[in-house]
This record gives sequence, structure tokens and C-alpha cells, in this order.
Amino acid sequence: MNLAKARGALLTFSGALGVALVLIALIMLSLDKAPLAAGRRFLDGVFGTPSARADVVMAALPMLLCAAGLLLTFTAGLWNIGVEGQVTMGAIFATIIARTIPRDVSEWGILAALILPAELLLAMLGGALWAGLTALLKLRGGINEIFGGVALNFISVNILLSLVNGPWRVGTFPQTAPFASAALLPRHPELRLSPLAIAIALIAFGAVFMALRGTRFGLALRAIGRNAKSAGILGVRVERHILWAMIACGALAGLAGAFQVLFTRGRLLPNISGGIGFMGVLIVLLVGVRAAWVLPVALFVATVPVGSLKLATSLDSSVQIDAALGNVFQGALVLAVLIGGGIRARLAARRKERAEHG
Amino acid sequence: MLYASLRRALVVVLSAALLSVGLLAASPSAAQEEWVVGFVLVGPQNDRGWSQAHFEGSEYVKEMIPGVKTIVVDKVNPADRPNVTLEQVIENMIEQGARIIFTTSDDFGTETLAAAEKFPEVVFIHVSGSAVLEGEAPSNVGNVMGKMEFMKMVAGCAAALKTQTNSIGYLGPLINDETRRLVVSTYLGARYCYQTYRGLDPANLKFEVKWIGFWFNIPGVTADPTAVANDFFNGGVDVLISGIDTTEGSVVANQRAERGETVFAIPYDYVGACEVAPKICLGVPYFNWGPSYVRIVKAVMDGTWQSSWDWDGPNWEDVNDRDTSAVGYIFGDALTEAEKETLSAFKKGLGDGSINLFVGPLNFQDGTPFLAEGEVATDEQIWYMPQLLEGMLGVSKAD
Repeated sequence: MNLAKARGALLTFSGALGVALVLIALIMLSLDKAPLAAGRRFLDGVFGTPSARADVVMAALPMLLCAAGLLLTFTAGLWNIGVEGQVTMGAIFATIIARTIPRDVSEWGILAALILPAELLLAMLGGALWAGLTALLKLRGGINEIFGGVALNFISVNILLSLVNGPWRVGTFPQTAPFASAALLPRHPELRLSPLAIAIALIAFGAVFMALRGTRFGLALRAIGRNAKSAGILGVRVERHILWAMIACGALAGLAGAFQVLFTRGRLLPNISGGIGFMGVLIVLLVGVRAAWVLPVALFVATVPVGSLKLATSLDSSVQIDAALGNVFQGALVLAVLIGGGIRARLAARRKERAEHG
Repeated sequence: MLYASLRRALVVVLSAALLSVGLLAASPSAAQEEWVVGFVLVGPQNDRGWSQAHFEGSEYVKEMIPGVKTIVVDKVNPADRPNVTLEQVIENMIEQGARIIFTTSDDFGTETLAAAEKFPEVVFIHVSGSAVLEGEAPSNVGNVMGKMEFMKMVAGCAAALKTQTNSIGYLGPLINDETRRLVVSTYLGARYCYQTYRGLDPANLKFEVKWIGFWFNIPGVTADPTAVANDFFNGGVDVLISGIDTTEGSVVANQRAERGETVFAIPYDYVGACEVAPKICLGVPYFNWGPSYVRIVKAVMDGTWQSSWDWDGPNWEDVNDRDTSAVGYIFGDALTEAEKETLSAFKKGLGDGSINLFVGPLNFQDGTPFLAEGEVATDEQIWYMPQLLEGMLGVSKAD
């Protein structure tokens, strides 16, 4: 049963991938570009050099964190669209400490070792706060988490803009100064890679995976997701679980935001999230809330920006594509998977109907 | 344990990659000397503004120097490529063999210097920056900029000749030394021509700048240039001069002209920018990066290049000469023949030195003296313009 299900999911996914690829190929042909050569260059580019592979891994981490958090909320039937704002708040909260760290911390002694943990914890707090607010709006105010999330996304962006345009601005651009290296996630000497960030993300993902598989918490979330009312009747404390699922997701999203400022950009600037929260939603939708698939799909999605850049920097103009085409591909893929899932569900229903009647 | 095996795998892969890169790199360079030049653009390469001017410059390099190949990556900014950093773009270009990289936005300054430290064998040209002048740049970094101030003076002059409401608007990007000196130059040109050629009292000329906050519109981040342009016209401005990378000023002016208003626009940056709205265009002050780029690339290829801060001027014989002039001014369709003649005379005066607008007495906006009576501004005084001037409306500082 499980195997058949997995095969079905794999079929849907590869079918959708095929559709999205054909669509991109058609667009490229209409622009007089060479899709096959571009495909080769894309794969070469993404897997061909250590630095490209490192970029893919590092691009995947924040998305992985968001997706891990969203696994919890989606399992409980919550559409935590506010994840984007939770990422932003995480970035802002990490910056509260990061921007105050001086270039030279040699005299800080043991305190210097506390900088990163403090930044990361504060970032998780920021994300959790924002998610908790969405949960409270839902539980106490009766506001659906989608609407609450959208509103809080909007507010978080405006907080970010007023900070980088106002008190935190350094120089003429709306952004902070680059952070001191003591404030940043330690970086591999050659590659754009942070082993510590990888470890943190994998541990966080593993924890979510285990929680969903083998704990009462995971079981309760699943029960709530299936039917919150019956779960409540059967003794599950629905409100408390919803609150904690949201807070956990927010904390992970906040961590993703911290990665953005403490590694990817090294400073706080507008659009710091760059849509990774939404990418997390897409990943969870792509895998249909199946936790085991999140890791490979996050890596796959992360190849798109890296590979697109490889195409853009190619010497061969027949494979140079616009930055927007990568986003089109991601969107088309998700749409195709959702449509494929819908078709599959309909086919299954029809088969069941036929079996019952025949 | 896992980490150790990962690292081992990484080492194997790394050495394999290095080996293959070495093999690949060895063969073509032996056969033929091929030069790859990279150009990083902040906006779209077809923005009819700042970025397109650089794109044209890259095409000119390809055309003029045989054996040169170019890689152009546009839209390098957090809104268009949220998961891509300048560092990645530069590294990718170097992977493709780039030995000279032009980073063509003020925004790229610090990251260009960092990349230059990391890749000392590659020459980096940071356009519009002045790290070399300040002694902060490694020896493989150069700066280049065009003396746009002159052409902005012509733009200001054209606006002053045309305005009937005695009100000129300037659509400013963000506030820094560069944007201040350009808007100041525009104002000086406008004031001079208003007084000299129209015989009017410059005290009655209203000249206002509104800053949108960045070089181009980023929804939610900057003020919307379309809305700002409409505000200007609603407030009585009839000539709008653009200082931003893109063409919203011309588009809005054209819409209003089609509704019967008598309004005009002066775009910026790109030689073909008037094509957006030819009927209301008073001309365009533009950058012609080609000659500067060719000079730099050739010098690097010859081995004669040395780090320098270049502020390239126009060819006063013909400011629109594609092969020699770093900045130019194309007359727009909305100018009358008489206005064109006046502008030509003004331009000639700027060229032969008989008209110098950066001469005292000039005061800053807050009333403190900038230049004493008869004092001529040095290049550096102009480059690091700290404030707007007395008589101009608008904000001088970002805070």
C-alpha cells in the first residue's frame, strides 16, 4: 500500500517535472534559445564544480528549515502562509545582535562563543513570536491563519523597511553595514559553505521528522489535521497543539531568516527573505506533506537559482536566459504537481466508484 | 565520521574538478588568445536607461576588439535575483575565463573590493565608485565614470528654456555624492539659461528634487516613480528631468501630454531614451561607455593597465561622437530650432571654458558657503558634493 502510494507520488512528480520542462523548452524555443544545450549546461553548472554544489546546498538550507516547520503546521491542517513574515522577523531579530558586534572581539573571551547561539536563539524567538501571534489571532480572534499570516507578512516587511531606511541604515543604501565576521556563521575557507549551518538544519529537520513519526505530539497534530473536532472529543488539546505547531514552525522559519542575514547576505537588506518562506510552502505542497521527500526536493528546488545563474554567465548566448525564467519553471512545476495530484485523486475516486458499483 | 567521509569525498571531487578545469583551460588558450570580459548590471539590460547604456558599452567592446568575448549578467539585485549574490556572479564569470570584470553599479562597491582581494589576478572596474581615489582599493581595481555634470547642465538649460510655469521637477534616485552633484549641475544649468537666455530672474524659477530612494522602482521599497512624477505635474511642474535608471518620468509626461497638457520630459542615461516618448522629449543626457571600456580592456590586454580613478569627459568637438565622447546630449523632438541653437551655444561655452558654472559665489542649501566669490570648484569638490545648493528645493541628506 505504502509502496504503491510512493510510486504514485513519484509518477505524479516526474510527470509534472516533464510538463514543466516541456513548457520551459517551448518558451526558450520561441526566444530562439537552445533548450537541450541549456539543460546540459544547467546540469554541468549545478553539479560540475564544488562551489556550485556548495551554493546549492546552502540555498537549500533555509528552504529546508521552512519546509520542516511547515510539515508540522500542514500536518495539523494549518496553512501557515505567514511563514514568509516569520523568516523576515527572524532576520530582523538576528540583526539586533549582529549589527552591534565589533570587528575585533579578541578580548571578549568566552563571550565571543555566545554570539552565534544568542543570535540564532533570538531569531527563533522572533519567528516564533510572529507565528504565535498568528495562532492567537486564530484561536482567540477567530481570524483564519491564512489572513492573519498575510497581514503579519505585510507588517513584517514594513518593519524591515522602516529599520533599514531609518535607524539601522548605514550609507546611502537602505541596508545595514556588513556584519563583523564574529557575528556570521563560520564559513568554509574555500567554499561558500557553512558546515555548522548544515548541521543545524539537518538536526532541525531530523527532529521534525522524528516528532511526526514517533511522538504523541505528532500523532495529535495528525489527528487535528484529519478532524479537529473529533480529535478534541477524543481528548486531544487542540488549541494548545495548534499554538505549539505554529510556534515551532515560526522558530524554524526564524532560523532560516538568521541564515539569510548571517550567511547568505552578511547584512540586513530589503527583501531579505527573497521568498524562501513561500518556497518552503511550495516544497511541502510538492511532496504532499510527506516528510521524507522534503530533503531531496529542497535540494532540487535550490538548483534552480544556481543553475539559472550558470546559464546567465554562459559564454554561449543560445543558452542565456532571463532571471525570471527560473521562477517560471518553479511555478509551473508546482502547478503541474497540484494538477497531477488532482487528476490522480479523481481517477482513484472513479476507480473506487466503479469497484463499488460493479 | 560522516563529516570526515564527506570531506574526503569533497577532496576527491575538488581535485577532479581542478584537474578537469586545468585540462580545459590549457587547450584553448594555447590555440588562440581569447579574452573574456564580464559585465555585471544592476537592472535589466533593456531598461532604456543606466543598465542598457552599459550593455551597449559591452557590445561596443566586442565590436572594436577582435578576440574579446563578453558575459553580461543583468538584474543583479535582491529583488530580481533573491538567492544570488554579486560574489556568486563574479565567481561564475571567472569560472568562464573572465579576466576583466566591470561591476556597473554604485551598489556593488564593497563587494567588488572583497572579490578583488580574493581574485588578485582578475582586473575589476567598479563604475561610478571612487575607492581608488580614496586609496582604499587593491591594485587590481579601477574606477571609471563619465563627466555627466556637463550634460546635466545642458538638460537643465533645456528645461529652463522651455518651462512656462517656471517650475522644473527632478526625479531623483537615492541621495549620495553622485546624485547630489548631478542634480546640482542640472540646477546650475537651468539657472544660468533662465537668466542669460530668457532674461528672467532666477529667484522666480522653482527647481525641486524628489528622491524615490533607489536607482529604480522596487515596489514596496522605494517611492513609486510614476506616482512621484504625477505629483510633480499636479503641483505645476511642466518639465520633468529624470535622474533615475528607468523611464517612468517620460512615460508619465507622455500620458499627460496626450490628455492635452503642455508638459515635457528629459530622460537620462541611455542614448535612445527619447524613443520612449519622442514628442515630449527635450533631449537626453547619456553615457557612452564604449570608448572608456575599450581603452581599459585594451590596456589590460597590453599589460599596460594600472589602477586609476578615471572621470572621462565629453569630446567637445562633437559630444555625440560614439568613438571618443564619454557623455553626450541628444536633442529631442520637442525642441524648436531656436532652442537647439541656444543649447548649442551654451554647450560650446561649456566646452571652450567661457561658461563655467561651478564658480563662486555659491552657497549650500543651509546657507553655508560652498565657493567664495570667483572661486572655481576643484574636481574633488564637485565629486564629493555634500549638499544641494541654496535656491534648490528638496532634501539634501538621507537622514
